[in-house]
Amino acid sequence: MNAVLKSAANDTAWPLQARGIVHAYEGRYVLQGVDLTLAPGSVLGLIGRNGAGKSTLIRALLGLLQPQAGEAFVFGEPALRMSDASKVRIAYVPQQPDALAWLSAAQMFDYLSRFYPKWDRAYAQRMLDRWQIVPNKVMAKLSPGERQRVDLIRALASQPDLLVLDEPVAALDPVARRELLREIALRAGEQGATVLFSTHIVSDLERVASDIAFLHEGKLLLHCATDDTKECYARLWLPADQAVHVPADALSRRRHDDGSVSCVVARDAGARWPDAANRPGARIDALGLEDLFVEIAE
Amino acid sequence: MDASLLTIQPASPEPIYRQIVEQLRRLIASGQLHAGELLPSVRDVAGFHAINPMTVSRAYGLAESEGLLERLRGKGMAVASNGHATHSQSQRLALLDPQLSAVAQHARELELSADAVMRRLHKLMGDSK
Amino acid sequence: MNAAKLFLLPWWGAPTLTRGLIGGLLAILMLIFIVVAATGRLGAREMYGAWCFIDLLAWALLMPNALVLARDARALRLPALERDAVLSLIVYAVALIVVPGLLIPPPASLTSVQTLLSFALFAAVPLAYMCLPGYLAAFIIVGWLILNQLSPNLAAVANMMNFTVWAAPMLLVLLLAIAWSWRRTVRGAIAAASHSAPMVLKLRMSAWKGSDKADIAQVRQRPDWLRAQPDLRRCGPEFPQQSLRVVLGGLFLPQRWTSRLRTWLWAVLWSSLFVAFMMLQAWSRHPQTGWLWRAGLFATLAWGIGFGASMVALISVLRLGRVWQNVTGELPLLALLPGLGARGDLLRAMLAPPLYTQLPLLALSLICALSLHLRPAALAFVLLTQVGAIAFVVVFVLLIAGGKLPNKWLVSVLGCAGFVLVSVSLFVPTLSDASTIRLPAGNLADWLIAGWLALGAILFCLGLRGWRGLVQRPHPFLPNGT
Repeated sequence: MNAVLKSAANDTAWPLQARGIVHAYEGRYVLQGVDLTLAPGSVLGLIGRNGAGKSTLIRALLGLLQPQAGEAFVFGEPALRMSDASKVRIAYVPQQPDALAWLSAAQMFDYLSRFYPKWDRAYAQRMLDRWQIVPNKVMAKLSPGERQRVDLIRALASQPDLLVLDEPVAALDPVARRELLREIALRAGEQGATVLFSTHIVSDLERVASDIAFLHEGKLLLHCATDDTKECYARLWLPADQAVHVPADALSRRRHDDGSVSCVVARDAGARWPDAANRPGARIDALGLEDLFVEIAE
Repeated sequence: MDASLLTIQPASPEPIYRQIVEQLRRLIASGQLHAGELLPSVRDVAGFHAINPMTVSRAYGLAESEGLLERLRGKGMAVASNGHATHSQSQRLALLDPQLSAVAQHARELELSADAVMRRLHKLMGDSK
Repeated sequence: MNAAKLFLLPWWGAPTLTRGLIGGLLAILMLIFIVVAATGRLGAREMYGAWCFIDLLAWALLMPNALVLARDARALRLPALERDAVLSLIVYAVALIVVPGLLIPPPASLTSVQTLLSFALFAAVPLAYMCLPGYLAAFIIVGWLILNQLSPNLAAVANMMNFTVWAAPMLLVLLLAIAWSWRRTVRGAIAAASHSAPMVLKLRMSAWKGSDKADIAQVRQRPDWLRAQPDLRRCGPEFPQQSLRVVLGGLFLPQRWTSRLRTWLWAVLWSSLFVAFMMLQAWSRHPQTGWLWRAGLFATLAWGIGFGASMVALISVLRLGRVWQNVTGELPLLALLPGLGARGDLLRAMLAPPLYTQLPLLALSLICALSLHLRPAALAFVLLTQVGAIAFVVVFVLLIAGGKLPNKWLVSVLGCAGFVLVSVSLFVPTLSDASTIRLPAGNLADWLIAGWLALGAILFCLGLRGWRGLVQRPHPFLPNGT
């Protein structure tokens, strides 16, 4: 009875949670106090420029590195001291995976299948065929794209409750990429899997992510539902004579050569744009996510 | 109806769930979808377009609350039968409002008279027939 | 580009650490040479010999970097830089061959043209070795060894009577070979991992210890019939030790017995080449069966322990070090696979393979030592080297898993000290009675014992540090050095 209660409590715990994570490499701060929570069944797209700290954040979230401050939790347990029961529920694919290069894909799947009770042998076989990967070729001889596909298959075949992918689509062609996105979307929607993936391809994010987190210079600049992002944020353009009225809480501001200013603003609680939007000559432009991120990250 | 009837443009400033609702509205208004016709399941739409199923559910939910769709027990979503089949001209014209107001704004910026724009519109619609 | 820049150019091609080492070495040698030469204490013969050595080093270590630079310049579409790389070779040829050829007085047996020619040869041979594809470069070494073997009195044979007659065509052949190899490396954009890559690229590849990409390249190059066949039968959460070894790879990988046998045969084959070479050398000096037999046993002992045991220790520690550095490799897998988190299992999986490999080596060395009728003291020293290798493995396994690796300089100093201790302990007491070798202060045996005690103490402290680190770490699979 106790065990049942305990596992029920674990199921309701957040799949991933970070509190105030700070980390530095050689004195340079990569993460400066990141708080992040993933709700069960959500698909969080982590976006940011190269070197923004996405991979470091992901590793800290999974307990693969010891942050200098802050704490990460996986299914309610401290990430650095995860139990085997939690580990079975996780799959993680690093950027450019190169583990077990001395095994063939078939051997790696055979090996890993013993650790995951829900391992889907038929799925793994089907995907190897579909992505035309020779199962008996030693993995050191696969191209980086094939190698990454093998790792994606292995992650999905273990049927995880929490799937964490670091730049999963970078080495995939458009067809394989679409297939992966479809798989991610359906796993989350139907099996209730929670997914975290980092990317810098924004269109992928807009398709499958239910939430978006934008990591910029070691901080999370925004974290909200994908649909809301497009409706809640917009670019406000102010002509030169109104430039002083830029709202103080604007996410970014850029001054143009003619003195005019553009900035990214958010709607307030009553879904209204800031007052500056009503000034003479002011203009509000709805933005696609890509434009929004370029605007903020620049 | 088939999931391929919808087109999704992730890069557009319009959220995907709104894109779906707007397209359903147009398809129904134009008569391409008749009352009672079953819609593809959430899974089919999500799988076909590789989008999040929750986005599709949200779009269907919104369309249902607007009276475009209705939930048939055990069958899924279908086009609502409550009079939407016969769309008055004014209802269909209302669907063009967003585009028309954008045109109106651009015309003012370019200092074009309404007559000139109307003539052009006549010509365009005449050509397209 | 001016002359000073041409002088600096090969240095740009060198990796930072090697640049410092080569620069330091050459600078010290040059300084000693110039100072000693200036005092006038050196005879013409010594000066000639010393310069040949410096020349050889410079062309083996420094100049091949110009090829790397030229290759990169071609890839980056910088034709001017590519041309300058060739020019810098010519500038260095003038500085290291022509100028000394004119300044250094020729030894009695040589004319000044012959001196110049021999300097050029001492430059061309190492450069050819570094620039030619691996399989051709091997011929240079083998040829050199055979030449050395067939004519122990090479100096007497080539008594410089007809030196010019064979040296000039040889120089020409070498220069043509270098030119051909240069052109093909620069234009053909040959991958560093391919079989036909020049030695300089291969060496750089194997020295690339930043990640275990080099290990992967090695697996990729190896032909299928030589590749280890993993034994995955006893894996899974209920066999943590065996499963951990699969992920650690390399020497740690559980293999089917046929595959293991093949690995051993391969090692024996290579070692027996070395033993045969030693026997041949002994035969050429003392053509008696007794000597041949003794030389064979001695070579086996030196190879089996001095090399075998230390290499097994070194290879396994290097492999583990790389695993704990690569954050996209095996480390996340180890951390997230259920059932592999126990520290005891991990230590056993990391220690068992290198230590078990020491057992047959130990047996072999005992057999050799007994057949050679070594003195007990000598036997003790021989065994001490093996104990040292085992201690090295244990300590570094603790340091790696505990995340307490000391910095690179301390490790390399320790490595050098260990190497000196191992080689002195192996060779000196086995060849003569160590207790009778008098050093300026005390005898050698005492110094050796002191050295081993000091090394042991340092290793003990490091091991303790590693153990504490391992206990304190939340889990042992956190990356080192990031």
